[in-house]
Amino acid sequence: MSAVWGPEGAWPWRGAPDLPNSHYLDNRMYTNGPLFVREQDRIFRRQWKFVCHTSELPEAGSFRTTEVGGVPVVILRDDDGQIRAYFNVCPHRGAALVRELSGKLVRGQMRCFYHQWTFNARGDCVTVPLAQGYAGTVIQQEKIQLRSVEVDTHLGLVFVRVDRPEGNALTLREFLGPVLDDLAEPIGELEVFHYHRVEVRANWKSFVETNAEGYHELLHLLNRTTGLSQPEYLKRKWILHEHGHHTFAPAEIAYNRLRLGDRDQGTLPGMTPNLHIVADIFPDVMVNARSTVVRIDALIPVAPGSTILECRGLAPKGDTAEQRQRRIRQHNEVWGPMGRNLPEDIWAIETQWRNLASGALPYSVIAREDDQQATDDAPVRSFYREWQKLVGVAAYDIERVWQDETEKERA
Amino acid sequence: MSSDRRDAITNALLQQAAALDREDFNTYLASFAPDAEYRLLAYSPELGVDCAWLDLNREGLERLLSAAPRHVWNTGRRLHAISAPQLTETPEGVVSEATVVVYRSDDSGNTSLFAAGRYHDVWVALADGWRLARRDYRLDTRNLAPPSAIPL
Repeated sequence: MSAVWGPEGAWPWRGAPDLPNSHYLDNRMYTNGPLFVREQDRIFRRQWKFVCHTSELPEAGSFRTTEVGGVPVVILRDDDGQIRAYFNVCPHRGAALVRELSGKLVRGQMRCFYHQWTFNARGDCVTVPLAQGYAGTVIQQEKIQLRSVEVDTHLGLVFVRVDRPEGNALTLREFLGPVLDDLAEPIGELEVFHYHRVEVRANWKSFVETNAEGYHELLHLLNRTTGLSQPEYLKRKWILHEHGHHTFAPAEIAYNRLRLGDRDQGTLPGMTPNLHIVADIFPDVMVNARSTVVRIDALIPVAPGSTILECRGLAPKGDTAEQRQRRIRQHNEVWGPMGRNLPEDIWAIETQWRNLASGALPYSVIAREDDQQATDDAPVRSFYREWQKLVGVAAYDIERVWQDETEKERA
Repeated sequence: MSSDRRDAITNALLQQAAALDREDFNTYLASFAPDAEYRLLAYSPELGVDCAWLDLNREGLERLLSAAPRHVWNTGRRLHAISAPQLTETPEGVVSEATVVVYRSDDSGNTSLFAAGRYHDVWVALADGWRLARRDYRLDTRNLAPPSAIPL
């Protein structure tokens, strides 16, 4: 008996698909190590990056530590209530200045546990023990400062920028533009009540994509039952903004199709029962409001195939215990670490990562066009348009320098 | 507490975990009292508070588990290992505390530690036997990877 081989397959398994360049991806851009390093530098360090919510820094001396583009960062509130951020690195020998994930500075200071160099919340060095050993050198306590990180806030969201980009450095408001306008009322006066993080064995951009296209909602029992099953939901529009951000226009969710109960008690300001609004902030943040509760997802890329997903749940500050419990249940039902959707998204992109890393599929398509309605890939294409601009290579062929066709035409 | 009573509660605890491990959700649900509450808790050092990762009454548990076959969760095969429970009579019922670790085996047979923590349970004697009135599973593990919505 002869071996069976075929069909060869109509799908372009070996060459690029016959589509516009903007409508497919060179899958090496998920797995390439040097490209990952470039993303960390040009996207995560040189663009505004969400790091926490102002409620996580409730009083003078409160701090949070995290990592931005591979750099350890401490964000804190100084004595004047000003939020500041620094490299969480002692300038002496590089040990961690603040070792906890959150807390309150002791006497408003950060003391390195290695050699006890001490800094105030403004980043000034206030103690160098046994300073006579540096007499006559450039190492003088009053001239030593922490490396500062640019920080700004909008609607309670704290962003940092580790390094300035070359050329025009946008202010946070210029960067965000109108992406959060639909959410300004609901997220105005919230606090974080839930935080968890999970390691995802996939590239960070794969998770971004799950937040930027409605087509994959077919994966989720919850979404296909309470959303996609409604003809009106399919007409839901994606609104594309400058700098790679998007808004998924407000729509009503039919929770009761899964016996989940209406979200009609304690709706957030500006929200109506069962209303759903999503805002994707480039590069990695999804702000997701479901009538009564808000979720913020953000990513910390660790390696091409390893990403930390940070998940926050937010609710109004003045909740009664009963209101808060209801919101926690509604939050967990969809998005909790044991929620219905999160495990499905993660499993999908982890299988995707393994296959893309193997080279089994050289290109993937982002070619759906449906008048920017729910299942259109337009937001994914918009994300990659911004990504290409920043990393300087073509997403459809990572060996090519990216050139903006529309800008070329304009010129 | 009599040894019969102690054995009966310990058996109920172990049988319930075994039912969950073999995904026999009907038997698992039947081990809860009608007004039972189930919570999965983890302390968040980022916020300095406990976070409820699951907070369900029996109806909520039933709704979740009845939908489980229609979801695609990478649950793997699970094995609960439970220490000998410490039992205390209280007016509310018998309080049971036990250390619980959950192993996860994937399709290739690779086993890893998935979760570690402690059960804080309240058991009540109903006409049909000992039933769980309240469970708090306090997790030390905070990276449940890969996640699944099946209770622990």
